[in-house]
Order: sequence, then C-alpha cells, then structure tokens
Amino acid sequence: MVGCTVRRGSKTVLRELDLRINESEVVCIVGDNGSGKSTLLETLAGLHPLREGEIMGPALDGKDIVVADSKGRRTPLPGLSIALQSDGACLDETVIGRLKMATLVAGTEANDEEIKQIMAEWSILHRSGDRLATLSNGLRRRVSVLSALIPALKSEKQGLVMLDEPSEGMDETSQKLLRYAIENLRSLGHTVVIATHDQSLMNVADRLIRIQDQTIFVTGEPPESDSGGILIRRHNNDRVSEFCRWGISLEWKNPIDTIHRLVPSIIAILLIGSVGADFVASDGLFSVSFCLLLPAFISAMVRPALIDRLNEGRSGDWWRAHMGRSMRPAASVVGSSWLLPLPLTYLTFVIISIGTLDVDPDAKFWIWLPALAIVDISVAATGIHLLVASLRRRGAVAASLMMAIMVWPFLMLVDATSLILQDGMSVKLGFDTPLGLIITSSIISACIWASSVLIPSD
Amino acid sequence: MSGIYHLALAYSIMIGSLFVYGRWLISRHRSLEKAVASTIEVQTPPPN
Amino acid sequence: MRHPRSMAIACIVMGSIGVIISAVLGIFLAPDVNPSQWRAPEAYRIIFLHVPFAWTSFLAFIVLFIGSLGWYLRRSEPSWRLVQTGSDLGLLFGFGVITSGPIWGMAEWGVPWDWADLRLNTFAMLTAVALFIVMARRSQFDDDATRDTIASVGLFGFMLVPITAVATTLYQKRHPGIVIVESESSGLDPVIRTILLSGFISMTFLFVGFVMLSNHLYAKEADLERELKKLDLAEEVG
Repeated sequence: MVGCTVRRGSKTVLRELDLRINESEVVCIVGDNGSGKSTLLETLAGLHPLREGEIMGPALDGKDIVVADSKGRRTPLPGLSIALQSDGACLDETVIGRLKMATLVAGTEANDEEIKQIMAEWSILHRSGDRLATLSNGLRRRVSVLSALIPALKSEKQGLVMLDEPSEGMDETSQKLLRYAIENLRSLGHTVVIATHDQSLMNVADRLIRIQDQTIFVTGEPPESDSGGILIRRHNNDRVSEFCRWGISLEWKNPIDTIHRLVPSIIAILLIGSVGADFVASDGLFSVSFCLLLPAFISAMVRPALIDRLNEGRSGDWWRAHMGRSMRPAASVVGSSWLLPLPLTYLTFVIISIGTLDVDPDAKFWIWLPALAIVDISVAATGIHLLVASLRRRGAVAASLMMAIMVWPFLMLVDATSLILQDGMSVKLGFDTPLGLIITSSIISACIWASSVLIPSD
Repeated sequence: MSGIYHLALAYSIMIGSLFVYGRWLISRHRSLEKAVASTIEVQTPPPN
Repeated sequence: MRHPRSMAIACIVMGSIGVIISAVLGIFLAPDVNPSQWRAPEAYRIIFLHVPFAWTSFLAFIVLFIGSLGWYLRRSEPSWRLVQTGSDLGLLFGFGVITSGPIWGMAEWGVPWDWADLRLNTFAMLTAVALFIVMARRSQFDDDATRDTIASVGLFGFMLVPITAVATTLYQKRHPGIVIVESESSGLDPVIRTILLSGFISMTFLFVGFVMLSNHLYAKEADLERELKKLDLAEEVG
C-alpha cells in the first residue's frame, strides 16, 4: 500500500498510508470503533476507491500488479480468501453450498469430505443443508469465517486470507478453533490479515497495525520469510463461471426474479387477451406485433432480483473482491431474463389467437427470433439497473428514468415481427428485412449494455 | 382550433418553470445566509 | 466575493427582461401564418420560447457533460459544481422543451410524440438523465462513491445521445410520420428571425446568470458544510 488516502462519506478515514505486508505473516489491524479497521482491510482487498495512492500485490511472475489505484485501475488480489464483517453471503445460500463455492472461487480443490470434516470440527455439520437465513448470527459468523479459512487450509499454494472481526459473535470453543486455524495458516505459509479488537487474536499476530487519526502505528517485527511463496492467480473466467453458477442456483432455490418478471407480463397478456384479437388487429399488423412482444418486453425491463441478492450481507462486495471489474458485466448477464421472453411471446400468440388473423402461415415458426432478441434488451436493461444500484439509498432513485432508451430496440423488433407476420421470414440482410432489424436491435442493445457496464469504475 | 390554449399552456409552463427556479435560487440564497450567520454565532465565543 | 453574484444577478435580470420581451413580441408582433396551411395557426408562436429553451438546455447538458467528465477523470470540486448546476438547469430547460414540443404537436399534428424525431427524443433522454441526477443528489449521501456513480450516470446519458441519434434515424426510415419540430430548411420571415434571435440572446444571458449564481451558491454551501463538520467534530471531542 503506497501513499493511500481513502474517504468514506465525507470523512477521510485513511490518509497517505504506506504499509507493506509480508508473505507468511499474521497481521492484526486494531483500533477504536470507527477508526477505520474494516476500511483498511477492505481497501487492501480493493473494495474502496482510492483518493490517492495505489495498492500493489504479487503476481505469479514475481512482478507486482496494481490491485487498485486512484485512477480507477482494479485487479482482483491473487489467491484471496476474505470474510467480511457482514458475512458477505446471500441468505438463500446453504451452508455446504457456500463453503464449496468459496473454495472453488479461491481456486482450491477440496472435496466434500474434507470440507465436512472441518465443518464437524466447527460443529456446523448438522446444519450443512440449511439455508443461512435459518441460522443464528453466531453460526452464520462461523460459516462466513470458514468460507475464508477452508480454501486456504486446503490449498497447496500460499495465499492471502483476510478476516474482518472474525471472532465477533463466536463462542469460546469457536474462538479457540479460530486461533488454531490462524496458527495453522501461518505454518502453511499463508498471509493473514485480521481486523479485530479481540486481544486473543492480537496475541497470535506477528505485527499489530493500530489505526488512529487517519494514520497507522505499527508494532512488532515481520517474520523472516523464505520469500519463496507463490501466490495462486486464478483466471477471472473461472470466477465468472462460479458467479454465474451462484446466481442461477440461488434463483433455482427461490425463483423470486422469475415471479417478479412473470406477474406483470401475465397481467399484460390477460389484458391484451381481454380486448380480443380483432380489436388488436384493427390497427394493422404493427399493433398485433406490438401486443405480441409487449409482455416479453415488460419482463425484460423489471429490476433483477440479483441486485437485492448482491446487496444482502454485502455478498456483492465479496464477489467484487474476487472478480474486480468483471463482476458488473457478469452480473448484467446472469441477472437478466433468459427464459421468459420465448414462452411469453408464444403464450401471447396463443391467447390473442394470432393464428386466426390474416398472417403468414409460417410466421409462428419464426417469431422465436425477435422474442430471443428481447434477451439482449433484458441484458442491457439489467446493466442500467446495476449502474444505479451502487447508490447506497437505491430505493430513493428511479432507475426507470433511464430505461426509455430501450424503446427503440423494442420498436425495431416490433417492426421485424410485423414483417414476419406479413410476409414470412426472410434470411436477407437489410434494414427492411426482419433479420436486419433484429440484428440492428441487438446491436443497439449491446451498445447500451456496453455503456452501462464499462463506464462505472467498479 | 387556433391553438391559443395550447400556446397559453406552453408559455405558462416555460415561463412558470423559470420563475419557480428563480424563486428556488433566492430561497437557497436566503437560507444559506441564515445558516452562515448562525454558524458564526456558534463559533464566536460570548463576551465574558 | 460579491462580484460574481452581482454579475450573475445582472445577467439574470437582463435575461429575464429579454425573455419577457421576446415572448410578448412573439405573441403580439410576430406575423400570422396562413390559417389554411396550419391547423393551429396561433400555436406556432410556441417556437419563440421553445427553440431558445432547446438551445439553452443544450448548453446545460454540455455543462453537465463537462462536469461529469471532470469528476470522473479528476474528482475535482469545480467539476462537481458543474454537475450540480448542469443537472439542475438541464432539468429546467429540458422539461420546458419536452412539454412545449408535445403541446405544439397535439395542436398542430394531433400527436404528442414521435419516436422518429431525433431532437425531441434526445432531449427527452437527457432530461430524464438530468432528473435522475437531481433526484440522486438530493436523496443520497454526498460522498466520493455517490459522486462517482452520478458522474458515471451523466456520462452514460451522453453515450445515449449517439445511440438515440442512430436509433431514431433508422426508425424514421421505416416510419417517416410527422416530425414535431419543424425543419429550419424553409426560409424564415425576418420578423420571426429577429424575435427568435432576441429569444436566443436573452435566454443565453439568463442561462449564464443561472450558472454563475448556482455555482456560487453550491460553492458556498460546500464551504458551510465544511464549517459545520468542524463544529460536529468539536462537539464530539468536547
């Protein structure tokens, strides 16, 4: 950490800090409540923007990489396992699911038996299939801490473990296990950084970093290091796929996103159905196409439940620590409506009896194409939702104000659909052809998506 | 329809919004002066 | 410093007088149009304020863009001042444009909105972004993270301008329809041109005055907030 200044709110918490943490070292960050212990730890993990300075970390080739700097550069810290103060997990996750996923994200190969053995030592094996929402605070804390300890304990290579107030809410037995685990990590060559006010953990540390008045005071000597430690650098792609799996599995367990999207769409279909096909068709095929795609469009624009899941327990921050800037694009894809546009469009087709209207007889075999392109609209809309979701009081702002831009890709798909209904599908490429319009709509959606995910710094 | 009502409505909205903004700037200026005065009062120790 | 405030107030007063005069001239002095060619011949006089409003909102969005870019790249306080002022004025003047345009459209063409009209839709997009930014500034904690997000939103809003331009142009090819804002390709009556010019100039003065005064007020509010925070700390320590 070189010359780092961090502000939280309007307050400067850390000012021009220089700090070096060595390999195989256990460091405790201590200080009064509100002094900035968590801020320092989270800044080291790259979670807070730097006003000044930079944070460097070791890469595989021995050179330093920029973990974060004041210009907005950001790279996930290699070999990181982190337990945030607020657990960093969505409460719909199960205990065993959380621990396995944390292990995979950290790049460690640990089988179920090894994980369960540690769970048994920590007396949480009996809860392995339970959701975190059903656990007491103390048990949840154990799961959170274990999700940082297990990947490191089972790893073949040295890494970095960060723990924020790990012993808070833990009973004495668990605290003893925690101290033992930290000693074990040190002997395995891992670096451990702990933010704590627990004296028993301070006794385990090689150095104490006291935060006071925006600066640090260091006591203790770093251990002699072989400097032969190699840190794992897991490719971002793997973390992205773990993140996608995480998002999908949560939705599978609790399909709240699907329901939020489905309800207004079904209401729209029923309302359209109640006015009847003749009324809808009275204004031409454009109206028919509009009504056909509208329910799918509505489902695409709904605010994704993933945002609330990322907000819960700061699980979004946990993922950000591991994924860096790739989290936002990944979240915009995972959180969007993939499954609904197609069935909703065909359901609408049936409900308003489009087959009885004067349309091309093969049209029903091709309307899946514009319906599928609504997925692109959904991804772009999710990107816009994520853009504003980083505001702390997100319930006080209206993301919908920025959704109007999605009208044009939608209208192009409506045009494409009316051409398909009128003349059937054509594979010609041109602005007056269905395929050309669908591709143009998708390109516009892609441009909107790119703007919404690439502009924000993190 | 000559559009006179539309004209009146549009002008009312545009000029009205300028007026509302101007009033808001004035009220901000006044509340700022009050706040500055009370801050100075708090900062200034009372004469002994 | 009294000078910037005095200059600002002078600009605002001059601009206001000019706007009122332009409006009055537009209503009473501007020539009538041929009633056989216009469905709502009196409604055309909306342009004497609508077009200067559009020009000024364009200036306001430029201010917002420069401010957003400045904060995004350098986190400078003067840039943030421009974001605050630009979003307020973008909302004010943009709102005027996107309400007066459809009112005129309803009167003259019977349709309030045209998805194929480039300017109207671009102004609508940017006004929505300005509204979002104003609401966000008022509802969120004022810290670097919030300002970063708001600056990103501001820049995102500007990325929407070329996207909207392409989208409406493509859409217009298939749906020529009615263009709400008349093209300026036809020659303008000299009286109309003069009144429009006076509207432009007055509105620009008004805009400059608003920018100066608004920036000045936001700077003073920031200074006051700093003093209040010092008092907060003194209370805590005491």
